[in-house]
Amino acid sequence: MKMTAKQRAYFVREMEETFGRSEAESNQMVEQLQRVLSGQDQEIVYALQYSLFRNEDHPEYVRKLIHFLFHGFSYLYRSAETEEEREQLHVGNEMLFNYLFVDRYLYATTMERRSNAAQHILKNVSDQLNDLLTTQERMLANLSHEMRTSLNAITGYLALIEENHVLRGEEAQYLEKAQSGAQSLQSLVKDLLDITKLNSNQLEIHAEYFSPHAMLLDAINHVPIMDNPHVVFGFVPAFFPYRVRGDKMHTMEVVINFLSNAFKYTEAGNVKLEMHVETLPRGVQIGFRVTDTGVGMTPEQVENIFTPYSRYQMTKQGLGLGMYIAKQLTERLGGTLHVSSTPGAGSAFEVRFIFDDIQPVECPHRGKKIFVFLESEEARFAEDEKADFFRASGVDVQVYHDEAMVIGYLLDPQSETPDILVIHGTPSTYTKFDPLIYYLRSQRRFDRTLFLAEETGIPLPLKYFDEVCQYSFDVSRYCKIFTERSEKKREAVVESDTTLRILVVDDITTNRDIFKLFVQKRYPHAEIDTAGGGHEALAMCRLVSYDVMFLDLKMPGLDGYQLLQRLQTDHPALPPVYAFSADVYKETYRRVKESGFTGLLEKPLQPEKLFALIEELST
Amino acid sequence: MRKIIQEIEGTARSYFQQFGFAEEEITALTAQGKRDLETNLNTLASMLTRSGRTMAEEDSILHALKGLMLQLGDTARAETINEVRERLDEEKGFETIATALLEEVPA
Repeated sequence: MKMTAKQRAYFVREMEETFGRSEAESNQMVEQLQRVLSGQDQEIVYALQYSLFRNEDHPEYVRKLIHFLFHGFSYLYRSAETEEEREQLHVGNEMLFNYLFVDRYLYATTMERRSNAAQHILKNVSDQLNDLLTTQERMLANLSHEMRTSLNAITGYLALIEENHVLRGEEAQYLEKAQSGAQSLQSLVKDLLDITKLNSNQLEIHAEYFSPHAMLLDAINHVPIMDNPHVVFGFVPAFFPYRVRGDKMHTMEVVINFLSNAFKYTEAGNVKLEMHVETLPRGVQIGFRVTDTGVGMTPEQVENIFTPYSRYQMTKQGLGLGMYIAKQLTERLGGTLHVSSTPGAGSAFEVRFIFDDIQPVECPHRGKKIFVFLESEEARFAEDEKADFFRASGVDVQVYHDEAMVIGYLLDPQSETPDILVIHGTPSTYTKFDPLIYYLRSQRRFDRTLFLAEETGIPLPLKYFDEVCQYSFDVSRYCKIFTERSEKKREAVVESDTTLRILVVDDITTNRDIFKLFVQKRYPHAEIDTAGGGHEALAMCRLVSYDVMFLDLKMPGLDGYQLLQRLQTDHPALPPVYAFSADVYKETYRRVKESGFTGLLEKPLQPEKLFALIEELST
Repeated sequence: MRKIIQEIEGTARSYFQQFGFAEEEITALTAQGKRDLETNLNTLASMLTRSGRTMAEEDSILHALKGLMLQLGDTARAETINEVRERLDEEKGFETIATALLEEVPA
């Protein structure tokens, strides 16, 4: 079909109005339309089809195009001059209808079906991945928990070995290495547990009142700050006699991570921990800042530092989880984290928390006396704030600067005894005062005085000071120490210096361990040996003379009765031997007595009965 | 078996805390307790599947478990074991206690 001049003019006008084309462009498009109508250009049909089906980003254009096509066909049909032309247009219209509706409908249905199938596959994959992640997280959590339990047992037993001082020389070094290895593993397992909890939103926030200064002292204790002699550590706390309400443990963990990181990446130089307090209209903002003069980081490394498993020096130990955990914890606790770094010059990490619930530290020393010996003038400034705080609380604080005067005072039998005596000096001063305290105590003098070594700067082997702190004591620590000391005193009253040698025989390790711990807690000087069976006990009795024995009655091999019989044969002068049993019937008591046991101790172990029995033996 | 061990571990932890033991000591004790419980419960489980066991063997394992549970502060379970130990001569007495005690042990 060939368009008439009138028809062409209509289409040019329509093109201009509908699509905003110029006259030349419209003429060109009408020319293309003519070729379509004449069946000369199939390519344009496909282009048109594409425009209708795929031009989803321009729905207004598609709407205009459809409108244009329908109106165009309608106009051509109306203005057609012959039946043949109308027939051709009728076919064309059918094709257009097919393009616009049937094909598009089929296309849309196909796409929808494909989309549904894709979504179904994606959902399945997503479910499977989620299941896998959940399983992995659960597995990791279980594994970490089991590992932590076992590691606690290992470190617990290693600590017991260390406390017993049974290993000497090279073997003691092996123990030290084993402890160090166990601690590293504990730290890794803790990180894994933390990350599992953080990822699964299971981290529990425990709000409690705590002293930020005391928390920082605890954090310092968790970091091996003395391991590298080339790194000097500095601690600058703010005087802040308040307790804040927040999650102490997790806050401390953030600071520990900062400190660990600083020490890890500083071969030589300085690491400093500072605390800043800013008063806000409601509450306070506290910043904990750790700066180091270590390797520093590039901007890219700073950007990645909080990514899990990232370490900016692969030669360093660790999983690269510390800073990630620190950031996650900070966010969970509602804090903000700031980092700045310069390659080769060092880094600074700071975390800030806002605490809107604070309590002033209560001073339990009202009406008491604190004597302070300040050796240097420099220390006076820091101590002045503390002294003012105690004075404001009604404590009598007296500060001395003359060493000879303090020593004279301590040696004078007429001197008044303060409740707390603080020494703040050089290492040689502390080591000088240490034996003096021993002498005073041996003379039963200053018995009720608490001796504190404040801000020693380095760890010193002081034996007779009640409390020693490398850094400045927090005021809340004074209160805590005082309370703990009262408790210790109470314990000391009941703690005995009994030096009995005790043998415990039981086939179950747990029963032996429990027995041993109970005795050791009350009688630290007693020597306790354990045997897992009758034959082992017999062998031990050949080597060692015991003051008392406790035998489980029912054991594989030789039972308690048989063991006693053998012991009676082998050792005519047998010490007191007690039966130890969970079977506490009249019949058991009768048989125990008849067999020659001194008595029967029932399971579960009743410490008071056991202690009464040992006391009786000691006297 | 895991369930019963976990329950006893929890009981033991609170029990030892009452005596003021340090956390590391408690952890070491409960870890050892778990191991001993596991060993004895496994013995109990294997005895259940074995024919021809003697009453003395049955009494011995129950006695060990009772003592252990008492020491770990689980007096209630220890008491239950004790009651059944007195009825070991009854038919299926051992199976009853073992099954009741260890829900997950195959009868």
